[in-house]
Amino acid sequence: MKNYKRDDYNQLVSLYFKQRWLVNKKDELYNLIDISKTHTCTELVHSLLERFNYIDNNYYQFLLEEIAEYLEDNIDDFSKTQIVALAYDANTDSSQKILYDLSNTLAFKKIKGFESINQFGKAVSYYKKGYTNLVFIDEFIGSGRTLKGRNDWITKNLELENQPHYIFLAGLKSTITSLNELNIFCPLQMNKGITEYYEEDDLSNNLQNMLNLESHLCPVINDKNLEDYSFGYGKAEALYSLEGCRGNTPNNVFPIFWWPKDNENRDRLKLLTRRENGF
Amino acid sequence: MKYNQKKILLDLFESVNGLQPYTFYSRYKLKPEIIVELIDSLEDKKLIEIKNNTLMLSEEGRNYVKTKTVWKKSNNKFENIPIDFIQEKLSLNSFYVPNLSYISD
Repeated sequence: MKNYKRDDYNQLVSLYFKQRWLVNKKDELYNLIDISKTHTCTELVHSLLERFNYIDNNYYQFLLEEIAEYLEDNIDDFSKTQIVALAYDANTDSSQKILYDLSNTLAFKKIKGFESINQFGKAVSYYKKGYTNLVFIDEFIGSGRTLKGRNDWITKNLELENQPHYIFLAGLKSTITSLNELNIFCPLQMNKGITEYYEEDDLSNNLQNMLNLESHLCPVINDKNLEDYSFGYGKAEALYSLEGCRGNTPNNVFPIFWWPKDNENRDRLKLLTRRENGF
Repeated sequence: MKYNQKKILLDLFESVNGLQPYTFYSRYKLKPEIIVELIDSLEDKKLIEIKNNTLMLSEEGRNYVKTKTVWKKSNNKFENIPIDFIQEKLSLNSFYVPNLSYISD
C-alpha cells in the first residue's frame, strides 16, 4: 500500500476537489505523478492539472447555449444562414459533433430555417442557393492555422456579401486576439499552459520540466513524430478535453496527457484518450 | 450510512476545531480518492463543511450525531457531568448576571 506524506496527500485531495474526473483515473494519475517525481516536476503536473478544462455534460451544454445566444444576437435571418462544420473531408471530425449538438440546442430555442452542413467545401454550393449568412463551426482553435487556411479558401472561392462568423467551442485566447480581423466567437478561451502562465526562472524551469516529461514518450509511432506534437500541436500548450461528454481530445493538448506509447514502445496508462488516424 | 462515513462524523464531533483529510488517512488509511468520495457524500447530505482544507460538522451534522449516537456512560466520574450543571453555553464576552439567591451569605 502506498504511503503518503501529509503534503502529498493534501495536494492530491485538493486536486481531486478541483478535478473530480481524476478520481476515476487514479491509476493513470499516479502513473503520471510517478514519472514526474523522477524529474522533480510534480509541481508542474499538479499546476497543469489544476487548470485543466475537462468539459462535462453540464458545462458543454452551457457553452452550446452561449453559442446559440451569440447567433441569436448576430444573425438577422436564419432562413438565409448555413452553419458549416470546418471538417475538410469525409472522415469524422469533432466539428461535426459540435454542429450536431448545436443544432439541437437551437431547436430547443425554436430557432430554425437554417441549413446545417457537415463539410466545409459544401458551403459554396449552398451559398449560391441563397444561404449567404455563413457560420463556420469547430471544436477548438489552437495555432489558428486551420482557420486561416479555411478563411483564405472561402474568400477566394466566393464573393462574400458579409464576413463569415467563425465559432469555436474552446480555444487559445492569444490566437483569437491575433486574428481580430475575423469574426470569431469562442465562449471558452484559455491561456497556454506554461508560456502564458509562468515568468522568468519559473518559465525556463518548467519548459525544461515538460521536455523532461516528454522524454518518457515514444519519439515515433508509425509515421507520427512526437516532435510535431511536443507541447501540443502548433505549440498550443492546451489544457482541454471534451472526453467528459464523449468527445475527443485535441492534439493541441500537451502529449504527456494522451500520447499512446512510452519510450520503450509499450502502451501507456494515459489520462486522456485521443483518437487519431495513424496511431 | 456507511461505516467510514460514521467514523468521519464521530471523529469530527469529538474534535474541537475540525480535522484535515490527512488525519483520516493517518487514522484509518483512507486513500485520497476514498476520502474525497466520502466528503462529497457527507456534503451532499449537508452534514459537513470544508473550509481551508479543514472538515467540520455543520449544525445539521452535529444534531445528526447527537440523535443517532448511543453514548456509553464513562467509568470516569469527571467525564459524566451532572445534569444540573448542563445549560446553554455562554458565548465569549457575553454579559453574565449571577442569580444572587444562589450565592450564599
